[in-house]
Parts: sequence; C-alpha cells; structure tokens
Amino acid sequence: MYFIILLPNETLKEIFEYLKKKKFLFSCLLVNCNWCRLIVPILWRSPCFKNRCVIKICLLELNANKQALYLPESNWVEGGKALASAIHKNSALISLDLSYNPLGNEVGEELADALQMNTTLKALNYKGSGFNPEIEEKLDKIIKSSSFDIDFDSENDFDSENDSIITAC
Amino acid sequence: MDNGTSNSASENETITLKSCDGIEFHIDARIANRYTLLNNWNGGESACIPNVNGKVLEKVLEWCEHHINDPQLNCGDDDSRRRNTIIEEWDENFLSCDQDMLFEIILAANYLEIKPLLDLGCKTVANMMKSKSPEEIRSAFNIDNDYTPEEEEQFRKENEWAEDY
Repeated sequence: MYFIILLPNETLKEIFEYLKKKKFLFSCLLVNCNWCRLIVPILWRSPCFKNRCVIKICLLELNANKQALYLPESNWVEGGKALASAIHKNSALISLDLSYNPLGNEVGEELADALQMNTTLKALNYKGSGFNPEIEEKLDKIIKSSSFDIDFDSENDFDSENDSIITAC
Repeated sequence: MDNGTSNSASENETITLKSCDGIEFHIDARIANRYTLLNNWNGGESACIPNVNGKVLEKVLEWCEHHINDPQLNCGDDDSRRRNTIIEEWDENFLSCDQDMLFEIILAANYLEIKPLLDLGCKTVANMMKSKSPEEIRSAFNIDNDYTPEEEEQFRKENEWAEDY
C-alpha cells in the first residue's frame, strides 16, 4: 500500500505548491531524491540570500582547505560571480533577495549582465550590497517593467508578498 | 468545458456508473455533466469507469453530491486556486479517512479530472507535511530515503537558507 509513492509527479508538485513556506519545502526536499528534483525549482523561484548567505552557498563548491582560506571575509568576487552564472541559468526566478551581502561593483556588473537575460524576475533587493549608482540604475531598469512593489524591509511580510507575486504572474 | 448553462440534465435524471470491479451507482446526471467525469459518456443511461474501484468511486460520488450546488470555478487559474488554503469542515471530515483511501481519492480525482476534489486532497496532504522534519515525513508516509549521506549533506547545505523563511 502506501500510496504516496504512486502519486504522479504532477500531483506531488501540486501538493508542494500548497506548502507555501520555504522551511516546509526545505524539509520535504530532504525526504528523497525525487522530491528534491520536484522541489528545487519551486524553492529557487524566489531565493533569499540575506545577510551574507551568498558566500556560504558559493563556498560549498570549494573543498575544506579552500573554504578555510577564503573565510571569514572571503572572496566575495568569486562567490558573487558564481551566483551570477547560476542566476543566468535559473529561468524560473521571480524574486531575489541579496540584501546585506557585501558583493561590490564587480559582482554588481556581472549580476546586471546575468539578469539582463532574465524575463521572469519581478523583485530584487540589493540593499547593503555596495553597488555604485550606475549599477543600481541598471538593476532597477531590469525590474522596472514590473508593476509589483515589494517591501523587503518588513521581513515577515516577505513570504506572503512573495506568494502574491507568484500568483499574480 | 461545461459551464452550467448548457447543462441540459434536470434534477430527476439519473445515470448509472459502473466501477472497474463492476459495482453500479445511480447518480444525478448533473454530476456527470458538471465534471468531465465521463469522457466516454455519450449521453446514454450508463457508463463505465475503468481504473476506479467501487469503494473509491463511492467516496468520490459522495463528495460530488455534497458539492453539487457549488458555483463553478474557473479551473484555468492555478495560482488563485492555490492561494486558498482553507478547508471547509465537511471536507475535512470527509478526508479524515485512512491514508490509503486519501491517496486513492486523489488518484481518482486526478484521473476523473475533478479539479476541486484534487485540490482539496493536495491541500490535505500538504497540511500533513507542514512543520515536520524530513525524518518525520518519511515515517508518516512510509518513504525510503534514497540519498547517499554525501548527497543529503550537499542538498542540505545548498538549501539551508530556506530554513528561516
């Protein structure tokens, strides 16, 4: 018996869409490989890399020795570039929160270039990233076509706002 | 798609449905009209439902009968459907059956294209997953962990940003 494994992937995806909160999706993603394949695209539609998360994720690619070499303040440029290239490939990206990662201008340029190609992004938060005004203008232009207004400052609202963006698209 | 206005079946009309194990159900013809329930129903007095057994079909039809006067929803809009996570009390009781029956109802609703029932089933299962650890979910639904420890660790690290949201 145990029919959950008999459900088609389409139906499982539908179930995961109802989970809403990212922490619930995160738990389900670790259940097994098939669930992981179904959940990663849902989760990565609107990643939140607030407060220096970017570097932690990018450092995963490196071995322990190199991680130790780059930490604590580490190589934001390489990390940011890796992120830009990952974003370039993510065609489901709807919102992106990069606030308070000191990425700097070089990464900002790469990000702006990567996001030029993106047609799905509706919201971007780069507060505290250390970009110069030209880069900020470039990034603003990319998401300007969107009429959605997100208030990234109210942390608790982010998730629910985010849901409504997904639903409005 | 049937929008209710072209529904020619009157209240007293019944048709006979036959489950895959040969059990017959006499149902209000409006149910058959409302959902694409019977793709191969040609307007005659009876139809066969392959793939759904009598026990499950009985439950599905019970749900259809209870909801016969619900307004028709526009099924095209996935996202507005998903926004609504509220489950009515009657539906909650209806689906508080054992897990095997719950999944059989979901499979049948999927097969018979009864969208509102499928949504309800998905919402119910999602609620059962919320606030559980991966291990708790595995044991609740009897799922094997097929990750290698290395893979599991890798996916945990790559996605742990999501834990706080």
